[in-house]
Amino acid sequence: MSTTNGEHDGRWAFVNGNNTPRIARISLSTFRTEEIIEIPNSSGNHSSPFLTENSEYAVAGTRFSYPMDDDDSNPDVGIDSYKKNFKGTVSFIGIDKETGRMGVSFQVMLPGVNFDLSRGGRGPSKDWFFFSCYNTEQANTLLEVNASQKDKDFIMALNWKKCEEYAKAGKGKKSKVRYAHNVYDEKTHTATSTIETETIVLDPKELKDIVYFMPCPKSPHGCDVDPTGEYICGSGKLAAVIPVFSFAKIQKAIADKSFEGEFDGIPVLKYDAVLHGEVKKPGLGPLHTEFDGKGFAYTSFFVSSEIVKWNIEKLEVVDRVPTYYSIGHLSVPGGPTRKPHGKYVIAYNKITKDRYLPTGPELTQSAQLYDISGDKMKLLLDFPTTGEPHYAEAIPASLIQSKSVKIFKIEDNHHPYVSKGEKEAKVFREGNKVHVNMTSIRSHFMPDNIEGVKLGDEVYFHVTNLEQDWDVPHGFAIKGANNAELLIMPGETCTLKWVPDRVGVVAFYCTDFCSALHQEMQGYIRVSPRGSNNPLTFSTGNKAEPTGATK
Amino acid sequence: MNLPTPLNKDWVATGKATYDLKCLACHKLSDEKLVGPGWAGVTKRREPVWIMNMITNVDMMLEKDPEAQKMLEECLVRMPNQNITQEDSRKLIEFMRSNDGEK
Repeated sequence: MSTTNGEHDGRWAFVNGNNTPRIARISLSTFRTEEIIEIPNSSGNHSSPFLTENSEYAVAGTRFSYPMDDDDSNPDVGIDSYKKNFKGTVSFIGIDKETGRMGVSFQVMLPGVNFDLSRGGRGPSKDWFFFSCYNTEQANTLLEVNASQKDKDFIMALNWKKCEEYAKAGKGKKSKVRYAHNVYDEKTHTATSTIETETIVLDPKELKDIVYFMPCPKSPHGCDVDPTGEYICGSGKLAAVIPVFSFAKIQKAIADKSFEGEFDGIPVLKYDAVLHGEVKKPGLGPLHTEFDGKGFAYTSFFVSSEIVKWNIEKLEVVDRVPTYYSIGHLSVPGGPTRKPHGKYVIAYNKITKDRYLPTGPELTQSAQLYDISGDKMKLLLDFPTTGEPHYAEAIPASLIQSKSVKIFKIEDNHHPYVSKGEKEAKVFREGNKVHVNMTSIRSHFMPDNIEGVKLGDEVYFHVTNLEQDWDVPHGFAIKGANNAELLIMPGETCTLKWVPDRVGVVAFYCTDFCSALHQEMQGYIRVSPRGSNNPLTFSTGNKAEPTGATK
Repeated sequence: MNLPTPLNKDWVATGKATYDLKCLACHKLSDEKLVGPGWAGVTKRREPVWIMNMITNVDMMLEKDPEAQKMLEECLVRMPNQNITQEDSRKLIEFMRSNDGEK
């Protein structure tokens, strides 16, 4: 979620797509996706979309490294040439301060490993970003075993401010790529899709002071930054300790060149030189840490099924509660900001087993809500949920409420096929395309009887919801539209394409309960045979007169 | 409420535009009921203040006003709040007066 000065500002939420690497930006005033940008030079967008302190950038790290040659294509090489040919990238997606519009600002080319999770710095560390890396063994097969050989993998510390300077100074290489950038326009209620063809790639082998590796035990998942920005907590999935790194020590180690060597041209800092300390025997399988802003950290433990509360400064465990079962991620409202809202932690679990009623081989996911306002964590609620959200965030409703859009003003609707009132509703033909500019209001469509459509036509229903009251959407569905129907918000226009594949009269209807007469909210469209002379007519009620309208 | 004649022609025009956009789907200008009652004669049947309250504050009216509640029993569809300002509702009154033959 977007932040200003490291605190929630209630403007946007961001979501990553892994398999088709991309980031979506969602407006918190409409709860709508306003923009989706595909990430070039990436395979599995996992460490994403974490943000910088003022939401200057969202990051996108490739989970899987893969062969990238100088043209940043994916060349035809042997899979066992991982060490030689495979590379990773992390991308910085710029976010416009006012509009939120995104763009791929620059990418950093990195050695072939897996990039897992990430967090932006804050306060003193605000110019830095941290990424957990595993498979530093660079295995290309049976990673379950082969990527678990070393005692330590890495957390990568990256100075994004410096990267930004280098990118602006032209120190990057222009890479020819193809990626889609889709933007939704709230005024026209439509989206545009653009294919972009270039990114800037920075090489840390040449630009020596932008990336450092820090050894971290073992196959780290979370690498979470505390509210002060001084501590970075690693969570080695296979480790028996929680290592806590100190940002001040990292800066000193870099200045002193306290390196234990290099990994594929990137300096590796000495573990002891950057370590604040280790939490000993915290539990089994640490995954993710959140914070309450009072000096305590809350880490989820998958293997031992618990949340452990510990003191960041003293590295001492102070409390632990069981979760049901095998917790993955957890969420403290505002936990990843400079000012956590505190009070609660939510456990999102990977395994449900016996919690809820039987529903066949798959059960709903389980979650628990705990009160963390006192010294001891207290279970408040055990509830079923959908999925196990990773890095879910929660914020007070008051940050969103005043900005929440209740209706789209019909006067401001600039959709090219809007009907501003029933008088503007019409049906017209452009070749084999039939456009139906339709209105809906409790509880009828205008028009609701349409004739003159022929087999071979493509019908576009442009439905405008004339309502101007909160929470009164109308729906639109028609048989034969096999993969979509519409849900139209008050004041909005949506389009559904329908290609009839047989002759006959077909019903359409409202799919969102709207009034006592919702069940009556329906209409018919007649499809005549190819070549039929049946004229195009439309009406609602007894008054409307047939018209043979063409544009 | 002050209802001077002759009618304000600009208000009648603005009122008609609002009617076309936000009211016509349910109200005819004759006395025929569509979803809601036809508008013919409405300015004779109702106080203008009552009409403006229905337009701008329909939820309160349906909760408290016996006449409004009677209409709901007849129509069975709650009149939607169409987000019309008080100023625009006054212009709708002007359009209704014109529809009822006032000059």
